Amino acid sequence: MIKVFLTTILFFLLNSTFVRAEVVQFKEEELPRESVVPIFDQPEAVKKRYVPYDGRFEMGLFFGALLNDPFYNSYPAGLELRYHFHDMHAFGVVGTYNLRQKTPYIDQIRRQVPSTSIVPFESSPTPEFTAWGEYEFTPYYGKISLTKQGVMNLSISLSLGVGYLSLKSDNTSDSSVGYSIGLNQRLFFTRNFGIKLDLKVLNYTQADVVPPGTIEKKALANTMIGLGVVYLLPSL
Amino acid sequence: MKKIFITFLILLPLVAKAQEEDIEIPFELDSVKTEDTSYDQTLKNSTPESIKEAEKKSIQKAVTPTAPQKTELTGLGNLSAFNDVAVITRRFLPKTNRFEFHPNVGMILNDAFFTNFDFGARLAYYFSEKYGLELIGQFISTTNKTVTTELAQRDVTTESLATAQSYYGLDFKWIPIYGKMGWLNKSIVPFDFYFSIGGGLTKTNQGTQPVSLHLGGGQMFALNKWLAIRWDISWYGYQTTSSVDGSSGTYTNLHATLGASIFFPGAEYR
Repeated sequence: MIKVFLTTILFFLLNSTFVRAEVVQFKEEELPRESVVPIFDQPEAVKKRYVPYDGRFEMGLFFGALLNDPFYNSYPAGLELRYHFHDMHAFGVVGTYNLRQKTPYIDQIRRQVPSTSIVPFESSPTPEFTAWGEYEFTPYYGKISLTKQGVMNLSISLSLGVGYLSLKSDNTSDSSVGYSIGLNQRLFFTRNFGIKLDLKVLNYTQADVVPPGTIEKKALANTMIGLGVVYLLPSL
Repeated sequence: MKKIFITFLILLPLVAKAQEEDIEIPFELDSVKTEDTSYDQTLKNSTPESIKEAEKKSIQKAVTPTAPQKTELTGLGNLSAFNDVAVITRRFLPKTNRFEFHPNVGMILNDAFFTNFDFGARLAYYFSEKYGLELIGQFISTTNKTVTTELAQRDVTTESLATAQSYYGLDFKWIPIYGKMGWLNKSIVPFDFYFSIGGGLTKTNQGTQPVSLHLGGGQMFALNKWLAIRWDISWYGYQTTSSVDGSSGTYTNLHATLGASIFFPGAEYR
C-alpha cells in the first residue's frame, strides 16, 4: 500500500517536471501600454456628415401660429433664406405674412359684461408683415433609425433674431421692433431636403386697447410654433 | 502485474511533452481523414509504403499554409439585401423591465389670460425597449397676465375662463426611434424619440374635474445607463362648464416641460 502511495506521488512529480508551459517572449514595443485607447487632443465625433451645412444656402417655407394673443389669432406663413458659413453657425433672413382671425373671447366678454362694448377690441393689432435677421447655432447633429434599414439625419439649433414688425388692426396701422429667441429641429429625408419644427418667443411692443383712456404701447411676449420644409443648396 | 503497472505510470510522463515551435508528430497516425476523395481512392489500391508517403504528404499539406487562390467575384450587383441589419447599433440606455422616474418643470404655452407654470412627476414602467406605461401627475400654478388684470379694471372677471390646476393620468408610451447625436462634434449623445397617448382627470378652477385626453411626444438624451435629460411637449384637451354662467366650452392646453429621468433598477449588461 505504501509503495502504491509513493509511486502515485512520484507519478505526479514526474508529470509536473515534463508537462510545462512554453515561455513566449514578445518584443516590448508590441506590448500594450497603460491604456490602449488613444486619446486625441481634439476629438471629432462625426468625421463626415451625410448632410453637411458648411458653405451651403438653405431655403425654407413654413406655416405657424402665434399662441398668446387673447383677442385675435395670428397665423404666420413665411419664407426664410439662410447661409451656413460653418456646420454650427448660420445667418439668415426670415419674412412672414400673418393671417388674422378673431377669437371667441371678444364676444364672450361682451355678452357677459355689456359695459365692455366700449372697449375697442377691433383696434387690438396683430403682426401683419414681419422681417427678421437671425443668427443660428447648431450644437447637435445626429441620426435616427426609423427602421432597421433606414437612417435619417437631424439637427437641433438655437436662434437669436432681431426684426421689424408691421402691426395692423381693423382700423389702425403701426410698427414695432422686436427680438426673438428660438429652438428648432430639422429632420432630413435626403442630403438636401428636410422638415423643420420651430418654437420661438417673439418679443415686441404693441398697442394695448383694454385699459380706459389713451391707448399705450406695451411689451408683449408671444409664443410661435411653426412647421416647414427646408432645402439646401448646392444640392449633393 | 503491479510492477508492470507502476513502471507504466512512471514512464508515461516521459512522452507527455509541451508543444514546441515546430509541429512534429512523433508517431505515425493510423489514419488521416481528409476531404480529398482522391486520397480515399488511392488508399484502396496502394501498398503500405505508398500509403505512408501519401499520409506524410497529406499532413504536410494540412500544416503548410497555402497561397490564397484567386477568386472571381461576379454577380455582386444581384446579391439579395440583408433582411435584418441594425443600422444604428448598440442602444445605449436599456429600458426593458425598468422603471423611470421623471420630475419635471414647464409651462403652458397657449394660455392668453394666465401664466401657468407646470410642476410634475411621472413614473413609467417599460415592458420592452419600445413600449411602456406611464403615470402622470402635474400641478399647475396660475397667475394673471397683464391683460387679465386690465380686464378686471373694466369689470370683466375671468372666473368664467377655465384653466387647469392639476392633472392625473395614465399614458401608453411608444418609443419607435433611437438615435445618436454629436454634441459640438466632440462627444456622442444617444437619445430616444417617444410618443404617448392616454387620459386622465384635470382639476380646473371652475371646481370641475373633467376627463381629459392627453397626447405627447419628446426626447430622452441619455447621460449614462441610468440618467437622462428629457423634454416633452404635451397637448391636453377637456370639456368643462363654467361655474359663473353655466356655459360649457372645450379647452386645450399645450405644455412644454423639461426634466431629468432616473432609471432603476440597474441595467443588465449583455
